[in-house]
Amino acid sequence: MIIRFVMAVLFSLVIVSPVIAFESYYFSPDLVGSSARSVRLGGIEGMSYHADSVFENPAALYRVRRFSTSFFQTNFMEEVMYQNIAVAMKTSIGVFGLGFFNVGVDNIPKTEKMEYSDYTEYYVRYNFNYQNSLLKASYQFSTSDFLHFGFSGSYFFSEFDTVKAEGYNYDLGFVLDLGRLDLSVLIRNLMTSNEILFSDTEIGANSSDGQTEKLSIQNVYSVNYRLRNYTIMAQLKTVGTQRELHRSVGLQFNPRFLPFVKGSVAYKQHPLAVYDEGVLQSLEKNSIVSGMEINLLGLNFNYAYERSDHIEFEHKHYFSVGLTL
Amino acid sequence: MYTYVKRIQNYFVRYKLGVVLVSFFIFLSGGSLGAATLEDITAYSSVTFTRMQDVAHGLNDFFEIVNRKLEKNVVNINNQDKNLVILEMAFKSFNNSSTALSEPEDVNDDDVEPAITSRPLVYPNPFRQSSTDGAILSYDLSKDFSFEIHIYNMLSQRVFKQTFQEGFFGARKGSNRLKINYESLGGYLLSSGVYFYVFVKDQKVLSRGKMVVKP
Repeated sequence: MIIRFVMAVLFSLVIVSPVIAFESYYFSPDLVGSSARSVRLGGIEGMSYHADSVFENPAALYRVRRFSTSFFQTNFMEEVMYQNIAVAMKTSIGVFGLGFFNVGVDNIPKTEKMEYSDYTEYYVRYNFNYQNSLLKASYQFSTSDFLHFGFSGSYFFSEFDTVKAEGYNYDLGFVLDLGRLDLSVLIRNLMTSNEILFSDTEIGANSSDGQTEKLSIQNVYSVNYRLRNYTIMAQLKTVGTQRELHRSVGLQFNPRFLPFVKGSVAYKQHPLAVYDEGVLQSLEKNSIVSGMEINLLGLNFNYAYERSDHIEFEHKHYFSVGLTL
Repeated sequence: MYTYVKRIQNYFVRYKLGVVLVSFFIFLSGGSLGAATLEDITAYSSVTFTRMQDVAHGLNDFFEIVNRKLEKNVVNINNQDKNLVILEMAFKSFNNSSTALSEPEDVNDDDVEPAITSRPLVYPNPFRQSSTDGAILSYDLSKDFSFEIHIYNMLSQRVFKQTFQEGFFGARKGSNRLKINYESLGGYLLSSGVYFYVFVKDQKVLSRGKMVVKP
């Protein structure tokens, strides 16, 4: 039965046919990654042992023994602050998890113009902040020692200047634990008809009142294979109705002489719509990420490094800390 | 008949009646005619001479001051409109010196450092990229020079890059205006969120700012 199940999943991977797409979706904060651990493994999901599984595959919460919490933070371009916190607790009927993710940018100029007869002057009237949040509640249950299911409800909320936006959706996933081999399957934002609705107090053509943005449906297939001191991971993710394909592969090393230290390197590839010198194209963005984890009596620290596209801020650093009891 | 005319002529000559009439008209005009100075007359002449001189110099310096403050002088940030459009022009200055004809006033920007002299701003901010009006990116340059504009999303990924050539739209001394709307990225609409624009010359960042796109 298990073999048939795995075969069915592999078949579904084969029929995935990516297309070049220029569709845009609502920007969810968890696009950056759920933790430094997730980032250093190339964004591979469903393999975490901590509460940050709330933002990934909720079925992976079965690895929480009693209680887990995690905190993640990173800053891009000295402007964009990502933060999340998640908690998970095991009960007799399953594991419950709760997570909050936020991305914020401060001091954005609100501009006005002054019209003269032959001169238009633009000036800053005041500064406002941009906040985009995601609240997730998860529930995980197991039907056996090797098959685990999870379900998450997501509430999206953002606010900036005169605009507010909100919407909700659901994730559904399972993890197949075959000892050395783990298989994770997740459908994120499975309600494709659920969109983010914007309200805007501004009046006129520049008002986005009543406008909507789609949430990208994502199918995430991940495998994890442990071999002595090494763990090999791979992931295929399709994003949106156009099935943009994201690929990741990672290698983690856990030395015997330092059992509380893990080092990893990963490669990821994903499409990105870029308008470059008059040409709109879908580029295959490649990047290599690396990092390490130190685990001290249930308290784990993760760090990840990635190069950035930005001409001025070439380095991206990620930090996360978690506590598992 | 002839004798009457002769008498009147003699009367004018003898009693300087012409002077009286001229003084009378000056009085009626409120003294404006009398206020017309030699400098004014020279200036009017200089206009004509400067125009001729510009034509003679192949229209150099003729379009020195172009009024780019008007919003109709806006080009899209994707820089795809290659048409040369002179929307308004004015004379840079009127030179009343005696050397005006032989030595036109030159503006030499070679010693000027290429720089963004004002804080680049997007108006309105936030704005709807999906609309026709979109937004205006406004900035001032210290001189004509080539540079690039990069736009990054909140993941620090570059989603836009465009080069502006020295002396052309967007890369001219003084005030420049670029439009950002649904056409700017070839029809691709950005997700709502914060975007960061960066002015780059020779791999160095001259200035940067942020804008918010809403659906």
